Amino acid sequence: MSSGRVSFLDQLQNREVTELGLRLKEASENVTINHTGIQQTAKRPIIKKVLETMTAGIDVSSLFGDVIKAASTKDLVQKKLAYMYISTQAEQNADLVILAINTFQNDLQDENPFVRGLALRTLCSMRLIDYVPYMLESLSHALIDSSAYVRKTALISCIKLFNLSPKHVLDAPLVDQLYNTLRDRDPEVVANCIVALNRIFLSEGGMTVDTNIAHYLLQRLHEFNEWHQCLVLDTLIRYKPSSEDEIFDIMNLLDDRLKHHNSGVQLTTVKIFIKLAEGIYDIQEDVYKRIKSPMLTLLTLTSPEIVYSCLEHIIVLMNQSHQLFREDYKYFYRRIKEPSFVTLKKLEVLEGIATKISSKEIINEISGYITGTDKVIAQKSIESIAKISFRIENVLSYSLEVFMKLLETGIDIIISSIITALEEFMNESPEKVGSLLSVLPSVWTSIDLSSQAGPAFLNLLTTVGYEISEAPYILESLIDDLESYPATSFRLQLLNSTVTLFLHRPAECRGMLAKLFKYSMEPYESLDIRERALFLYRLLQKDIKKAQEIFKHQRYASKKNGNNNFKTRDKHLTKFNTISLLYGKHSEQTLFEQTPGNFSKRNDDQFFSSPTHHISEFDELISLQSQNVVKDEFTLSSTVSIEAKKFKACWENFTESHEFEISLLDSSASLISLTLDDIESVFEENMMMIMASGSSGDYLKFFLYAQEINSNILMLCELKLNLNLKLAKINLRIGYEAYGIIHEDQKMNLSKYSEYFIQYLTRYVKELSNLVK
Amino acid sequence: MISQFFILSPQRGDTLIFRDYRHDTPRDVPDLLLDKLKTWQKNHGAELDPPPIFNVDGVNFLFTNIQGLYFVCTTKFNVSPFMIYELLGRIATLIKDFCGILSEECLRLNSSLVYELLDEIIDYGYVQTTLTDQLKSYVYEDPVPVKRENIIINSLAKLKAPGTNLGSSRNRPIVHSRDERSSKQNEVYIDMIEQLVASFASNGMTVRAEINGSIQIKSYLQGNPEIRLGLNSNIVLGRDKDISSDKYGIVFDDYKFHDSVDPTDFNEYRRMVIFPPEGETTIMNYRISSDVSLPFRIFPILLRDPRCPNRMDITIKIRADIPEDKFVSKCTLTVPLPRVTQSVSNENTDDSNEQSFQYDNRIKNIIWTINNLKGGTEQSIKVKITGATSFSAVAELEIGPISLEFDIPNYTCSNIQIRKLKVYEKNKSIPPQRWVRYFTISESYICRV
Repeated sequence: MSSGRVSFLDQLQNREVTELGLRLKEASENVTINHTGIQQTAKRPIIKKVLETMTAGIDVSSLFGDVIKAASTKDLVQKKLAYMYISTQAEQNADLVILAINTFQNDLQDENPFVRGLALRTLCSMRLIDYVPYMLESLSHALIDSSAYVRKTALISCIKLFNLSPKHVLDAPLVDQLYNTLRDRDPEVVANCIVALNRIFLSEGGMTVDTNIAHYLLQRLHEFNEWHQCLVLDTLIRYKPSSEDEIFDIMNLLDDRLKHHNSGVQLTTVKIFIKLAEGIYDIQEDVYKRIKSPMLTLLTLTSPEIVYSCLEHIIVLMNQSHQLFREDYKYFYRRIKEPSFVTLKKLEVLEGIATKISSKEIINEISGYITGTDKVIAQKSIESIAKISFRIENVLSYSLEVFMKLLETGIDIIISSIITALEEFMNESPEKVGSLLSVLPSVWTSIDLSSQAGPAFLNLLTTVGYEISEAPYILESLIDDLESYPATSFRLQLLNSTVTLFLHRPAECRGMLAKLFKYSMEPYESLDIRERALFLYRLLQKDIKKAQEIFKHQRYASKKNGNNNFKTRDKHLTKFNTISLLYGKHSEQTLFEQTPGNFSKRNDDQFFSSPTHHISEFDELISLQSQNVVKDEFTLSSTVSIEAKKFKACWENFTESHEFEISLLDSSASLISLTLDDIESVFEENMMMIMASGSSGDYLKFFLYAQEINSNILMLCELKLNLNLKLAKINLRIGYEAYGIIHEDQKMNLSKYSEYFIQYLTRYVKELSNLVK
Repeated sequence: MISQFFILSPQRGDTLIFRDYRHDTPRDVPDLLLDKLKTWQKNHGAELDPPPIFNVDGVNFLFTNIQGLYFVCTTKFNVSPFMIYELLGRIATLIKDFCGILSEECLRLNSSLVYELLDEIIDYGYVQTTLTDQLKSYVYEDPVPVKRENIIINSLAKLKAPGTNLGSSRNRPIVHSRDERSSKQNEVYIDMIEQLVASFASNGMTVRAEINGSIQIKSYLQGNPEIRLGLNSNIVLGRDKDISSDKYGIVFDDYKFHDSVDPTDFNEYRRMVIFPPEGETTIMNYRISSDVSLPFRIFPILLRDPRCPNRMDITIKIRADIPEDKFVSKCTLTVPLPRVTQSVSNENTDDSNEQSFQYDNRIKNIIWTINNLKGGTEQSIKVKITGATSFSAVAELEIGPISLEFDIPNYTCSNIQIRKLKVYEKNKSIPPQRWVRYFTISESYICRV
């Protein structure tokens, strides 16, 4: 049925195209006046129709010959349309292009410079390598044409040819000619010449910018149009002035560009200012002040896209200098009609620039966004208030007051977000939060327990709010209705929380704890839940004192991620005024191309969700108790790749080694059916790469490696797995990839991370038995 | 380096204009973007706007929504986002200048004119020029006017968004059919527009007051004649530098000029010389944030009856603090109400033609519109609201912020005026027509309850 329809459509389209061809052949060249009073040839509307058909995605290549004939005409609109057709269709009709050469030849000699330019542009945009010599010849004439329009078109055509065949261009005496053209009297020609030279010398970082060229361009800067100013300034960023005086001269020359009406020019100038000030410490503060005002003015523009980009750049500047925007916080208040992506960014800025003096005012302003209809903004606003209260002393009580009021509104989404925020406050100031928790029993039914607010609520309830008389009843009702809450994170927290409450109020909780343990150890439960339940059960059984000690300290170090900003900020400054800055921390070099080429890369997935594995918080908790170390991120790289030779060298060099065995006996299933591939996929999915694998005797043998991102530590592992005995023998070595002298603190790291690696590996080796089901 | 430029009509997903400059990205990118936008809406709901930049398979999409149409650039290079967004806006203005208006219909009728423009604006992904004078000499196609009824539809759409219906009388192309040229062409429009950003706290205090001013010029004058324009002499430039006790005036925090302006005399005499390109240009922007006298005050009062917890009375008074000879043609107040609100009744007995009142139960908003509000007068409204359940103790948190939209003709909030305006045109016997207009409009004018 459907295929019938398609072929019917095809037929219809074919007929349409054939008809257009007939009409083209018949139409005369004479100029007539149509019904709207416009002079045109009879062919013009037909070619227009052809182009429309082409834009609609219908194949019109069969008309190539007819359209070429229509290109030689005095009607310029018709000529343009025909050329446009030729440039898009030339590749499919390479053998027919020869017919068009005559037309090109005539037009390149035409007395109208516009026709000469048009012909050259069209000729060089055909990607036909056979015609490159012909194109090059036309080019060399065009570069010395009397018309600037032709010259500037010729320069862009140079780039087209270079991309098509670099060798042809480099062999021709073109490059010298280009350097001469830099001194052309027409600014547009100069600008295009820079573009061409930048492209040809891309591998060397673009055109060389020496003192002569830099000052020559600076002198002529005002002649260029706004777009070319962007380009020229962008090229000037590469120039390194030789003295401080020169730096000040350049800054003076460029100062008025900060007030330019085009934000592209402004931001490129800002970037130059930052770059120039890099070496001179004394003037940095002044330079930042100087560039601030124009950026604030950009925020008042009505184009939300520019405002958005500007905010992203302000965030980078803010991380560089926290003082800079602190008095301008009102510019970052929401405007009623702005799109939410702008508001979200503004909130991010407010988080960073709030000071002791301004924070209450800012929190008060933000609290007004929470009751609105936009959920995402409500959530982000609550998060922002929390972040400000974390960073700045003495505003916590004020924020809590605000939150208390909002809790009373009874709006689900607000309550859930506030509970999540309160949990974070809990570590900071347990007494203050504790005094507020008496509201929990009346609001908890509005919390979305399947979101991250669920675990947060449980943690709050049992860690700080254990004295609330309703607490056991809330937990009991949850345990009785366990099937409604399948999320693992919620279930793990429920186990922890019930145990915590049990330790505080054993009499009331004994029954429900037993029930929960029983449910959680059912074989259909996930491995994580079963493991956790078993562990807690044994802990309570073995040493209740120890358990009390552990759970009293369960307010583990806050989740704030240290000062990562400091490491990355310089990198961000170099990204100034580029798209990659808008992608924030996720940006990867690989998203962009230095050179044009094929487009088969798939970076998308990686970009939108970084596939990293975090060891569960609980495991950290254990190590936190035993070793008293601060929480570290443990994230394995998904992209690590090392060669066999390197593996061997590292294996011999690494001094930190561990040998141990893991028994898989508690699994009832037989492992015999497992294949090498099955096991490999488990490891690979979890960022442990396979160097080699095979079977020797009773053993399956694997060489694995992995790299931890934050510390760059490499793990190498020899794993021998006996499927009959259900036993894994492991030889683990870890160390730094670049060997040499190891510092004291790195040594500390090594022993710490070896623990992590052992836990991590053990967890997934054990998981192998799950494969059999 | 721009790979492609295209214009999308999002409703039906049609690509109205599509130009591939570099052929280094797939041809079906408009569909990719549409997919991405649809997925975004599915995941985040329609109210959350997608960020104006996406990366799909290594292709970067930068786009902007102008009058319901998506203007999109794709690129594979790490270019300046500011430049691209500026360019998208400029292309839209140019299309408007050359075709008269910007609409789906107009783009369909004038597609080849638009392609002509696009070919001259960008060559192989490199921006060449956006100057109207230059482009005019490269573009040969004549604009096709959109039929009458469509203009009406278009201007209806504009009425819905107050503040944007400025100068609809000027919707005609800068290039006319060759035989249509006449002396009527010889006109220049200058608009001084001040957009207000203001917010009041619930106690009536002004939290912020800011003027974003711009001077826009639309010129039909031939050959870039010189225009001299002078502003008030009591303008003070720069907040930090110039302020001393003996200087009073209107303080510009920051300002900037278009390239076509020679501002040499501005520092001393507040004068500028303009060589306006044909078509629409913003020749100056400025920003004022100190001593702003706001044109409206809003006084909301909430009354609760302890005996009826599901009832509440809201009284809102608005006062126009502008000179008595000025008036506000239309002024709209929007008041969000608590989520449990069920019904609303308006108690105003003197309901004349000058006012209208609406309640939208779906989004729980009341909209109060006042026509012809005179300077120095007040209006008030009293509304009784009833909730499905009783209002919570903190229900007033959910009321507001009240947002105000207005449009005051012939008035600038800062008192800046064009004091001198002279057009120096060579070889013209008929002096050019000059039109100067002033507007104060709301950008974000809100009052917390």
